[in-house]
Amino acid sequence: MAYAEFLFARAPRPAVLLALSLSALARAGFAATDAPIRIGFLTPYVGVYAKIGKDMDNGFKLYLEETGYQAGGRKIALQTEDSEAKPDVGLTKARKLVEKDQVQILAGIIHSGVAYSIRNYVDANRIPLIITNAGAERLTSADRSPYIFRVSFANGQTDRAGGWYAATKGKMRRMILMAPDYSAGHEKVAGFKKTFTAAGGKIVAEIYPPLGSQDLAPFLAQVISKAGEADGLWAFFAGSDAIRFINQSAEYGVKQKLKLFVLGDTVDDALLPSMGDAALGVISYLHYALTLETAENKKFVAAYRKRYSEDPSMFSEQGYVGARVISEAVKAVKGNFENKEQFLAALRRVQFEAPRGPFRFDEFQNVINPVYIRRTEKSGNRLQSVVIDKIPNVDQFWEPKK
Amino acid sequence: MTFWIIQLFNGLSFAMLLFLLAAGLSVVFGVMKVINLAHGSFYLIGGYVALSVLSATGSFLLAAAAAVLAGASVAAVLQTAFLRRFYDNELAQVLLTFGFLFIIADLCLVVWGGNPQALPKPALLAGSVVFGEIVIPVYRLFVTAVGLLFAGALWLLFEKTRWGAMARAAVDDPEMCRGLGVNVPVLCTSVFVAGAALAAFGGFMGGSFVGVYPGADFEILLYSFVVVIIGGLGSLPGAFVGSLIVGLLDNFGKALFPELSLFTIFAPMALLLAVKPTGLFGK
Amino acid sequence: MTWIRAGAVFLLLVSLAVVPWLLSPYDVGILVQVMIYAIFAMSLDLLLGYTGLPSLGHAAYFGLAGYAVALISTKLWTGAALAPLVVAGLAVTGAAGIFFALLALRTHGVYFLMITLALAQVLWGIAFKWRSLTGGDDGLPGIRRPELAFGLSLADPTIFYFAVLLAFVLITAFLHVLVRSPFGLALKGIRDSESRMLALGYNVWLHKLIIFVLAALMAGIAGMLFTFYNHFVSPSDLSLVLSAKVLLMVTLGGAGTLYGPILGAFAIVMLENMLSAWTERWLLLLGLLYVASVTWAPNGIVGFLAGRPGAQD
Repeated sequence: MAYAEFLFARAPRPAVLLALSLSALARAGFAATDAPIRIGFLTPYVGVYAKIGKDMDNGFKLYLEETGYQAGGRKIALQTEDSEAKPDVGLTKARKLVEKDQVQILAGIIHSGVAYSIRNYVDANRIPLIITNAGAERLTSADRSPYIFRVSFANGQTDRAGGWYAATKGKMRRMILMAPDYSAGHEKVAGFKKTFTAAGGKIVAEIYPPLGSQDLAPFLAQVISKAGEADGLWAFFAGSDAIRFINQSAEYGVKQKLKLFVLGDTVDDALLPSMGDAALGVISYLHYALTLETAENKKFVAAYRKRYSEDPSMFSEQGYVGARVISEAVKAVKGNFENKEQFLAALRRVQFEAPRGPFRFDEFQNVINPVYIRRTEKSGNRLQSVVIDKIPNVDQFWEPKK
Repeated sequence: MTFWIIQLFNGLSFAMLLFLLAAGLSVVFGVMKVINLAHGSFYLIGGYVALSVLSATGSFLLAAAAAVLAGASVAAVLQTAFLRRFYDNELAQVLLTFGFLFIIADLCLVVWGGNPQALPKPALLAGSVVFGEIVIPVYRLFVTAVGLLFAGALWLLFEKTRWGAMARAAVDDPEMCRGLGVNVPVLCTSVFVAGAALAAFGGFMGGSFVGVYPGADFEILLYSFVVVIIGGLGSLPGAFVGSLIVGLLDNFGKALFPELSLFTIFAPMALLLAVKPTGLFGK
Repeated sequence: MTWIRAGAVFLLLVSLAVVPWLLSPYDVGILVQVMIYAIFAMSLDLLLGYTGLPSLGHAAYFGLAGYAVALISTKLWTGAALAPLVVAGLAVTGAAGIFFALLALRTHGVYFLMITLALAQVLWGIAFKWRSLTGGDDGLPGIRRPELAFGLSLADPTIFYFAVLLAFVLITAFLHVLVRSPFGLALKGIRDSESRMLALGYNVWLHKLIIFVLAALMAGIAGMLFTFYNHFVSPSDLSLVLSAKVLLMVTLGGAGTLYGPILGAFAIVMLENMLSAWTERWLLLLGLLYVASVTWAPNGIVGFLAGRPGAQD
């Protein structure tokens, strides 16, 4: 029977077994300082999230290239895998990276579902996981793990700053809220509402279109019917949803009736060319802006443009920061990465000046970010988000100082 | 009243876009008995090619022509080099078109990158018509008009031309059709290419409405399937009525019962499958 | 010949029994996936290869059973034992199988493909959009593998491996008997000429109904095992992509043969696990594999090895 033969062929021959056990011995016995630190990077390379996955990958690799793929005297070996942004695939690939490629740290993760699906696995197997995007808030609160770190944001974190700003300096006291009907959408709305209502803001209506709605018109019609009672429209959309939101809002004249105040994803730099003048004048808030005039950001943007011939996105920056976090921690333990407790402690203490501003973790291992208020403006033929205000030190439980 | 008028126009314009996308799938199914899982890929090709040509030339007419041509050429290769060899083997055809769905998606990702994009609108169609409280974007009126125009033209093509008569005969009874001396392979190729060209044109029209992005191929495919299953497999009037039902139900459903919007598309399909599995106009 | 065959099967079983002590945990995991997908592919082959019913929505039963055990064990009855979970999963899958069969068996050929696709899409739509129940596209994480008797638990990878191996061997043996039984021969008769079987007085519809439900139940077993294996279920377990993948496994291995789907499952699982590490363009290669397998090996690996001409039948 044919299948008997090839199943046999999969069983290791004695010689192979011997070699395997010898290499295992070598790994265990001589905690070799010349053995590389193996990092597994998990991100989607196909499908809807392919581009932002690639951006993150580019940023991550850019930092490793700049530092010569080494830190604290140790070489760094990188193995990438495609999560397809599907939780089940992500889990399979995480297992593969850890069990087959023997990676010692995992990084990446765009999709919160993937992050949840591998949460128990990394926790049980004591694999440090550096999340460079996925924002599901429980990952660094109720479901936190000493092995999980996040350098991007928790859903609602940035929005807490946004809500406070809208009700105070933004002078939008009465708002309509609109976000896609999925967990990230609801988590971001919750963060916004918390500080917005605490600062005296009033919510006129909440509208939740299904994620990936081809046509937002029925929902925009509801916005218009309530426009008389409100000062502003708050929204969070990403990717093709964001393009449809901005363009269709312009078609229905929403901008003439209401101030648009959105999370930065909604007017992501990569999407602006597809929005054109429809995005002009929109106020947004985000933990990053391409136009930041800091030395760190200018250096990062220049290097990124040189290497990839395009502008970095917030995802590129998150990848870049993620690689630096690992690298700084390895440096702090002087390459003695194998002492896991020490390494985790070093990760928690990492601090440096990132392109977005000062970087450090809170006690739940989630990043504390500055939040920038930006306005979409035209410079020459190009649309860009120009920083008009800044709220420093926003953590995932942020509330304005009394 | 205002609400109803606005929503009616919204639903109608979305329905007409759906018709452009679903008509090809339905007719190809009817004539060739092929479930073309790569149908949405022609939307993607049309949208992306239109984007590139538009940014190079600035001409919307050239962009539309290029989109249609690109969709038709890919379809011609797919049909003559692969699908035609598996006449009557529906399983092989399904797997082939599924393979092409992957291949085209990945090639588009390589060529056009993964950023979601949208076609700009011609300045002429960019504004809105305002009657008092009622705001209707001009582009939606345009999409509605084009959809109706195509529906009429396709109906004439099917009912009044020799080609249409042959295609209808092939839907009803392919064996008889062959017996009567119709060159079935040529007929099939022409139907397949025309269906793909229509979907690619849908990519051009929908590019500034729905957008062009990785994964659009799959979403468009699913919407088209719902339309075709409700309207009835292989029926052009069915595709038209199916588009209207899905477009309007989707719109009014979302506007009136936003918390139930998950069922506005799948519920009618499931209901119809239980009552009349061949769809409203299917045989 | 029979002695050689029996010897080969014996050797295979022995080698599968010692695998957990020879291979790395990762490779054992891959083997578990291969066996689960093999059960799934064999179940589709019952419909496609043996009865001539091409289903394009077979993932419906795989995913439905997965969601059933996931929802029960996370929301209704945490700590449920294996037996009630499996019974509940099979009951749900069987009920869906009967209902879908009643609808789908009214059609033939390409219409059958279409309606099975549509029915599976309805389930997919519910799983994808009913977020409060199913978690939407985030799926349902944190599903525990149930405890067994005598203090054993499926949470132990070795025990889980043997549970899957047991299911795989039992189902393969069952199918071995089934396809040679009068019932199995009647199925082949229906595949080759439905009208002749009708004329011979067979209740064709009932045969189809039984095999449809049986295939659904088998797919359900695979789905439950897969959910326990991953501790996780998501809409992709119900998706058209999975339905097409299992179709490819069957046709790539060889439809209408017992061990073709096993080969197909093995080949696809291995390829998927290797390609994506090797190149970001693996989706392109997978697409090419679909095209190539249909074009150059229409009778599957089994047909190819047996030297059957690549007839376009």
